[in-house]
Amino acid sequence: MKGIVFTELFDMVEGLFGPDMIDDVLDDCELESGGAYTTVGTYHHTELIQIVSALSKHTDIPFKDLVQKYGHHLFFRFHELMPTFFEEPKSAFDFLESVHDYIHVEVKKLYPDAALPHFETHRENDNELTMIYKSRCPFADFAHGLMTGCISFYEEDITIESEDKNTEEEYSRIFNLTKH
Amino acid sequence: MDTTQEHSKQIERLGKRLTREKNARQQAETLLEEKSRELYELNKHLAENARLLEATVVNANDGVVITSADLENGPEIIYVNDAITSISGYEPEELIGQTPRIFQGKDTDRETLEILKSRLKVGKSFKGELKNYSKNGEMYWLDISIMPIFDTEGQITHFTAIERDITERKAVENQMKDYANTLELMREEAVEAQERAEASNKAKSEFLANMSHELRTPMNGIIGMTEMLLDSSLDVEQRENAETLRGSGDSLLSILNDILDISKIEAGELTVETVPFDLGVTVRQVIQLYWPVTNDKGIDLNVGDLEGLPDVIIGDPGRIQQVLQNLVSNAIKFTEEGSITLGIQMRYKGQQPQLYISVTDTGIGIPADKRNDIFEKFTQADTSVTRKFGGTGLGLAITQQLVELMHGEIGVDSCLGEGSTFWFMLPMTVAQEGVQAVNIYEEPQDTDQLKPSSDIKILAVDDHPVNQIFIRKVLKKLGFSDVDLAENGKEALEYIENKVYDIVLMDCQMPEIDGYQATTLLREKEQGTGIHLPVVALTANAMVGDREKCLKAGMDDYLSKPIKPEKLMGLITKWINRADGPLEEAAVVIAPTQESTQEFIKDEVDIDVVAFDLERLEMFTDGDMEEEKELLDMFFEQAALSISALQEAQHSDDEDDWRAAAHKLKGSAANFGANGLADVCLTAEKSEECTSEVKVQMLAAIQTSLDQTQIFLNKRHA
Repeated sequence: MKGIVFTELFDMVEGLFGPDMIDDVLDDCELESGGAYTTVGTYHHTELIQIVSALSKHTDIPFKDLVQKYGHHLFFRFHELMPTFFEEPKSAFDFLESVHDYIHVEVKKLYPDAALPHFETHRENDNELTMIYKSRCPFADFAHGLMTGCISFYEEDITIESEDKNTEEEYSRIFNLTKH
Repeated sequence: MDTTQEHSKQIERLGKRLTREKNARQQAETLLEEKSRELYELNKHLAENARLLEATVVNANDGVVITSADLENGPEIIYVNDAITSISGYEPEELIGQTPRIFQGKDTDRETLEILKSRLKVGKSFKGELKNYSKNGEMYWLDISIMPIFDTEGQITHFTAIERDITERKAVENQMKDYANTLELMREEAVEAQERAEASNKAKSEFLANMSHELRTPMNGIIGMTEMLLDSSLDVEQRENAETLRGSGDSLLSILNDILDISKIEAGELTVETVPFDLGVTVRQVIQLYWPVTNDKGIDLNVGDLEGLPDVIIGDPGRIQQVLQNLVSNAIKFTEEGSITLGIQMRYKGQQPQLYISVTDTGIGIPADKRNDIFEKFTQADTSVTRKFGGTGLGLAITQQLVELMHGEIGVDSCLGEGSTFWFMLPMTVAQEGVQAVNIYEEPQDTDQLKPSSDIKILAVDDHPVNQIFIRKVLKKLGFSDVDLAENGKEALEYIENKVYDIVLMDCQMPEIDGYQATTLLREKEQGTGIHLPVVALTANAMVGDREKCLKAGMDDYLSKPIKPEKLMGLITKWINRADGPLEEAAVVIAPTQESTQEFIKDEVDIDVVAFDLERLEMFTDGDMEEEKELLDMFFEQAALSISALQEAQHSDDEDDWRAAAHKLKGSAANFGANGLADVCLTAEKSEECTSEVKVQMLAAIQTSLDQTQIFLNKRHA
């Protein structure tokens, strides 16, 4: 997992709960990296799980809600950090469709070692989009958060229904997005 | 918590944060260093690749030009290698920034440029030849291939052209083209020369053929007169002289025949038939022909086992007989004692079955060095052979050409003093099961149940004495004894007036009242009487319309000559049985049906396969040579009359006399078995053009055929 996910998380936690919260959380964790992250480094995804679990304990907010909240937040940060990805897509569906075939392709060029989840999309009709998440990491909720971020960003009225399809090899979730 | 504690905790936290930040910075620096190293390595690798590529391009023997991809304003040259300078004379700095138009000139093919442009526009590469011009204005030929270069987005960014100077190759090509043209001209001249030579050879052959015809007529006169001379009372010396004269005449005539044959072959006038025929019959006929001669000479004439050979094969029985006759008569000529043996086998040449026929003699043999020459025209093994054995040296040449005409091969194995084996081998096609051989007679159908009683009364009408004899013979053989003969239609009507007949067999073309008229008159008389006398037409006509003509005249059925006994029996049976039945049924038969037309055309094909059908002749005489001789004499007497009639008609404007005379001769010839003669007569009868010139030619042909028939039969009776 790229370091930017950690550094952005810390920035958000600091903004919401103050810098001490990060110290408290890190005190509860035993991290291989020692909690020192750089945006360009690569870290094991279990570190993120440890950090969010500790945060959940300290804040009394459920793990799932935290992850979704962070995804939502991160989407807006992506817009600030990487505006080129936002030049073409004109709607939430457009953007989500470009994730797998364009954004992830570009990310791979910059970071050949990045382990990215698989995002398959099917446009059922103008108002319905199916998105299938597949990954070795249990971050479907994170993806969900990114989607809600995307919907808010484009200011559209879209509801999401989802269903888990996990297997022994990988985590998978089907998201059905309906535009109103 | 007091402030001191508060402060120390704060300091501890700050310390931790500082440590984390420091660690993160170190990590970042390490990563940066790693990335820098990676970048450096990659750069080095790229530079090395670029160096190799550039060295290759710069020093390539072929010119390389790289341009921008701007087709609208003309692509801009951004790179040229050294080879371009040596090809075009331009230095790189003179070319960079220019468009490739700088190389083009007045003879640069605009069409090629258009094709080039249109291909590049759609991202396809171009390969072709183009005229370019050097700095000092000299034209040179380029073999050029241009490829678009795409970026990762699939957009064309540049074009690369690889150019090879092919001016020299072009020059060589043009020279080769000139040579090829010259060669083609020479070849055409050679072909023309060959055609001229062939035409002149053909003209020569035709001249020879005509000459042979011309010579044959006086020869017949000489031979005929000699025969007459021999029949008169002569003293011993005169008889010896006349016999020598006849012998010389005979050999001269046979030489003329050979020359005629070879001329015909060379003039391409000889064709080969493909008909189903019985191999056994074909071979037996040749043996029968030569058996008397070998018998006289005291030589054995044997035929090997024919078992294992198919009964009916496809080919030209007439030509095969001719080949066999030549080989057998040759063998007889050169064999004083011992035997002549015919061997017949089926052999294989690859998958193709071959008919292999050999003629082995115990004669003088042929020296090894002469074996290749003997098939040449006018060549014999030794000039002494000519002195001793006579001959023109044409026989084997004719034989070889006949075999080649049938796509076969011929050869000879020989041992000097011990004998020779002449053999020939022809590609053989076995006839399908059930196919009837043309030279064999069908077994009479078992018609016992319907067979008419033998005492029925038959009237046969024919003006030709030979035909009269034939018809009587046939009817006798078929078991009918109450047969009257009328010479023409008028006589026939008189006979019918005075006697009640069961059936009439009516020739069509006769003097006074012909067969059509006689039948029409008969039918008029019968009207209202309820009588219907069956009339079967017997005619040598072989044209499809003639059948209808017969039926229209009121005849009930039709039989084409030569009359086959089983067919005649079939018709008599049919009409005797039908005479009692209602007339309508007859009407059904009268209507020419598709089937009957086909049958009729088959009859027509049946006519002419063997030049002479000995079996047919023997059918009438039952092999009695005396009777045969009488019959032949009568035939040739009648034939002579026909020839006179034709001679008279040949200069007259009246075509009918001519046709009638030819028709008459054809009918008796066909009946008699002289199929070759009958064919020639048919041609004369049916000839569309009937000018004097045509008639003269035709008459000559008829005369020749008649002569051949006579020679053939004379040999048999020699």
